[in-house]
Amino acid sequence: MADVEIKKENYLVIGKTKNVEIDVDTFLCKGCGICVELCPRKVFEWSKELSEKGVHYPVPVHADKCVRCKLCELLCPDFAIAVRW
Amino acid sequence: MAKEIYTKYKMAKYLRKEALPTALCPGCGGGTVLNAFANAIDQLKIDPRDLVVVSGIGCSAWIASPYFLADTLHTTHGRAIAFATGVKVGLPDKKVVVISGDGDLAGIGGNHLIHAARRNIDITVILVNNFIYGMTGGQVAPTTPFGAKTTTTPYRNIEHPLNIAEVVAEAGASYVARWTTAHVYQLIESIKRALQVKGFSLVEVISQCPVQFGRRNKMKEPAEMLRWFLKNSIPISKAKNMSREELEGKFVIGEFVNRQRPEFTEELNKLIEEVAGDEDAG
Amino acid sequence: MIVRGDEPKQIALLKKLYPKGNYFMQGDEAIAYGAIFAGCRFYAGYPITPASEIAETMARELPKVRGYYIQMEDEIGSIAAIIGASWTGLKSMTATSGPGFSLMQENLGYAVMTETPIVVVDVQRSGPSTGQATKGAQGDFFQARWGTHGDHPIVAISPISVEDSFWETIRAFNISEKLRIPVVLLADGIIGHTREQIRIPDPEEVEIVYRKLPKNEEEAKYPFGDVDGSLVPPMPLFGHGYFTHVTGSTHKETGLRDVYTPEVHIKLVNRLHKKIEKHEREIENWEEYFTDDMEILVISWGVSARPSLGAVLKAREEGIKAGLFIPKTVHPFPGKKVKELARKVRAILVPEMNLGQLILEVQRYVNDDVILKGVNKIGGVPLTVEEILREIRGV
Repeated sequence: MADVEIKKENYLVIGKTKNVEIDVDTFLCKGCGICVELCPRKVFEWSKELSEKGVHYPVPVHADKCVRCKLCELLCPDFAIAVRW
Repeated sequence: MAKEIYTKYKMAKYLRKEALPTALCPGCGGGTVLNAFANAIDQLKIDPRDLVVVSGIGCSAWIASPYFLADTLHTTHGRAIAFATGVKVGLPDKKVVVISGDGDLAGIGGNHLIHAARRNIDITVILVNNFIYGMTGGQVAPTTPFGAKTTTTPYRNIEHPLNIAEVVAEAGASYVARWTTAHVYQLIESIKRALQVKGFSLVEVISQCPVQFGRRNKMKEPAEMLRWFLKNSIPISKAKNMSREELEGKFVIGEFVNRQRPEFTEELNKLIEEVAGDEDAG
Repeated sequence: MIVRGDEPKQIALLKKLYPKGNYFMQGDEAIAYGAIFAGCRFYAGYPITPASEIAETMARELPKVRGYYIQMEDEIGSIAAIIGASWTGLKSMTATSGPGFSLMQENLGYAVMTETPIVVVDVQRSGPSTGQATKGAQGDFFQARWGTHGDHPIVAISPISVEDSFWETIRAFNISEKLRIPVVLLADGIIGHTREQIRIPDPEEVEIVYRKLPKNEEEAKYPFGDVDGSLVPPMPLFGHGYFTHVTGSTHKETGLRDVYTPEVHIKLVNRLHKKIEKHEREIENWEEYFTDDMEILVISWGVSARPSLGAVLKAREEGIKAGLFIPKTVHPFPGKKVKELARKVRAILVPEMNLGQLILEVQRYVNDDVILKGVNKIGGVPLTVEEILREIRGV
């Protein structure tokens, strides 16, 4: 797990590398899994715990593999993901 | 209701925060359409104050209403386009957008869809096609694939679906395109183009309904349905050389029509000038 | 304000196009001209006998006053378009007859629920169904009241002559604007197609009402709330940056849907009803003749009103103490007034061109000791003075 900093502040899951920051709002996230399944680089893994909503949410564990294609951000039906750099 | 939104996604600024999180199911393609629409508005630098969004009844009608922050008119089943016609004539300088579903706009509302295209009135219709009546529990729709299972075709669907984009293109629309929610980049570009075209524009979006359609047709995960879209999408250039039978069950994607035709509100105002202008003069 | 702020220009235009004086025209045309004088600048319609002439007149005249005419693909689209146009600030109207009116019911309920000012003209014809398409009738009385589903109020007005059609159309617009409610104009195919003399006034003689607009950003947040005790909310029009949300679902005062909290629905629907009750004195309108000393009361409406007047006048000549009451606002029904009048008489006759509809409203306000009899005629030929007189003599 090379230089990826994962932390959770309140509802926000933050995955940070020197190239990109991926944020997931677990209040909006409904655990649909589109991002986890369709990311071409398999950046996300399901969380171990349940969110306040009672669903597993995506954690950008492999953010170092991210190529910033933004498919997760655009496909997310709930505006929960932000890919920023 | 959300007290505060934490997401860092910039497009969230276009949403009515007090209505979040959305009532759409997890994985609903409608959310992706909302996402694409917000991106299109943002990239074109359109001020939401210059926008009026009209919708009908159904899950897809909920995409922009109430979630998109603009003047929104949530109307009766099938009639969104007729309401939008009145709004456009009254506010010719605003962008009038209809975001609603396949059953709503092409089923019960088919008549209004065809005539708005014929009139070529300058409204943009984003028709979200999830080939099911989702909100009422998953009944068969005029767009449901042949053979599919729904609550009112519990054995299999014996009807064939309507090719909405093709029909509307024939009726006289200025811009017609079809994409799927999986083709989100192309979708955004298409919505941008549709918003900018002067005349009737339709963007038909094939969208996943995992809960009502997918679940009953062996694709209960949203990602499975998205992969199904990707696998069965055929660009127009290729579809041109395929027969109707070969295209059964496939999604023909791309831009069907992009042309200039006299636009309704322009013609209406021209007529008024001709008539009233004479009166003004004497 | 008649039309979006260009009142002086519009008044000058009306004076030039329709100079004050006597004209000879059909009821349908009078309705169209009345609408134009009331400030109507958007009409969407669909042809239907006997209302097509309203559409034709509007198609010809609206462009002259910079108004918009669209012919929609059906009646449902027509009423939808006028509701959409109303939210942009345009006064709008559509006209139809029985079959089209039946189609419009869903969106009529939508206009009531969203408190959208529109005028819907029903030029009644003989029904049910296709019926006697070219013959007038008065069979839509209760449809105007209860045609659309759910607990809803409505205002309906019925003119009694060609000239009355002109003025009652203007009044219909004023009520719909003032109270943010659709108003049904219950016209009929007989007056609609009969030509009579009518005096077109100076537009400055005509009192025009425009809907209440929000005074500030704060008021604009409550398009469905009572901000000043009148129970009529301000209407934040589209296109002004208010981000107004309008829905036919049960909604809070901000307009956002809430179907889960019973109190929200109870409050909303009750306010819609009380809004009309509270302003009943301003909505009511009737004509009465010889009601000071009468033993027999004739209550009539719409096209049957004038033959009734003729019959009452003749009855008086014969020494019969007959009186006449003509409600022009038929919904809400002037029950209190009818009750008051009923106390004075021993018999009430209700001539109408149907099998007995308005009489059912009268019945609710009248005691058993009063003879209540309908003078009913269907078949498309209007009631005559002689037919009504015979009933007066008989009772």
